[in-house]
Amino acid sequence: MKKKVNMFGKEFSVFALVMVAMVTFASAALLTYYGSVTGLVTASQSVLVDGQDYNTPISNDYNVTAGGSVSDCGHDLKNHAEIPADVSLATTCASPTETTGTCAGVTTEVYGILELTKKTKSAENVWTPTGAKIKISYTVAGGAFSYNMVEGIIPVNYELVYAMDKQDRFDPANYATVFKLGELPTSDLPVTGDWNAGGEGSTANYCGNDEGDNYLHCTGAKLWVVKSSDIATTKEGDGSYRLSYANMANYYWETDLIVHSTDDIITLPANGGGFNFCVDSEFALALVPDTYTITTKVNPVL
Amino acid sequence: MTMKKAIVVGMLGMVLVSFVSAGLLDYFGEISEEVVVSGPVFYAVSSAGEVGSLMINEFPGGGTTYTISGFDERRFISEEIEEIDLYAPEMDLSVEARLNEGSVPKLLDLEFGYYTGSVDGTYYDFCKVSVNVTSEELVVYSDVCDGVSVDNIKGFYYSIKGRSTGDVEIKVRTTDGETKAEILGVVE
Repeated sequence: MKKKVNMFGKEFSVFALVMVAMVTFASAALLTYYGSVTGLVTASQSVLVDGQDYNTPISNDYNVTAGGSVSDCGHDLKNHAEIPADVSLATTCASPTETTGTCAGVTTEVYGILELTKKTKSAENVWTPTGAKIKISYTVAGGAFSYNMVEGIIPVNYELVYAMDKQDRFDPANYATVFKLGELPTSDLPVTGDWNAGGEGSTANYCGNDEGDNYLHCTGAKLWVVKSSDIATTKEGDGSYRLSYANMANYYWETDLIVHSTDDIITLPANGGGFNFCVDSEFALALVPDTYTITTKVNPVL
Repeated sequence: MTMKKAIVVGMLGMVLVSFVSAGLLDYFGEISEEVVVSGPVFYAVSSAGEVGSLMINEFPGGGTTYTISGFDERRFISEEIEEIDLYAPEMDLSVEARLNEGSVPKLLDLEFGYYTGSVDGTYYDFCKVSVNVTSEELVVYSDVCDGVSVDNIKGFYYSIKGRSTGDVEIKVRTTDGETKAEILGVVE
């Protein structure tokens, strides 16, 4: 018996249709893969602002009289990744009548903050702050390194220097050498080859080491205030100077590490590099009384 | 491939690119400051001479209590500033004063203005008010007035002038930072 059915106005054999269906089902039974392995990776943010990720708003409110200024301090930037991170800072201003991102009469500046203290060194090579301190502000990005005194004074015949450690830093031949600020090989800090930058071969970690250091930033550049006469008169090959440490009890040592970039791209050293900073805003005398929102974004540079 | 298929594939591609892009951070973080800016304050501070100082935004302390009889005037003048253009200011002019002698009338004219060129240049007023000193105790009297926008300002002055007969004596105090001119905002 040959059964036929009508489809699309034509007659088809039932047997033929069944065969086509079987072939289709048989094909569907073939495996497209033997198995799969799923790995769940939770990636945490590499560079944190004030210890927070990008989801966490950081905001402060101020009142100021036109002609005055606001210092928004206590901020920090830290790179938690195992590779250096390039970032840039961008500040914008807005008010109910200014929506272009800039406000005429409002000027802002981002600068770094560093405290230096005298320290005593124990027989176990542990350094302890004595309490005497000075504080400086310094340029973080854009232009040559410069600084201003915020608190205390640099004693007469002392000067601020960049102290660079070299590989195997406890070898007397490699003890920290210093660069005079006007004679930096490049003005980017830390310079290439600085052991404190935590690069290849370095185990620098100032966030908890056996010398008593427990800074917020684990890698970066050191600034010291040293007696000028303790600095050798002859330059080393790399432009640095030997330091005699003759008056080290009176030096002001770093309490954290810093970075500085001559251009607008700031390279944060790997494994905890970064800096503490303030956002300063000045409001012109003739500024229209209003509410101004100043936003500083930390952007990745890819 | 038909046109329809091409559009579908294109759209899918765009969606995919969107998902991949969304995986990269636009920024690591942002710090925002909301700053409420109020207008500047000009504090009258007496000096030994006829002309007192007008201090911008910062009351330095000091000052004195001086006497205005009849039509006496005391001016307070700021140091020269970097030249500015100012919007039309809505001003609040105030004086801390008491009636020392006499009865009527007891008016004081308060005038706030600016100078151009230099401190020895030409002086123009923004606006003026009159206050009636009614108490023998020290009281802060004030009133508001509107100025117009002005360019090329080099400094400011504040004038306190008597409008009484000679037997009326008013004491004006500048030690508390209450004798001052303040910009409240922009004239609507």
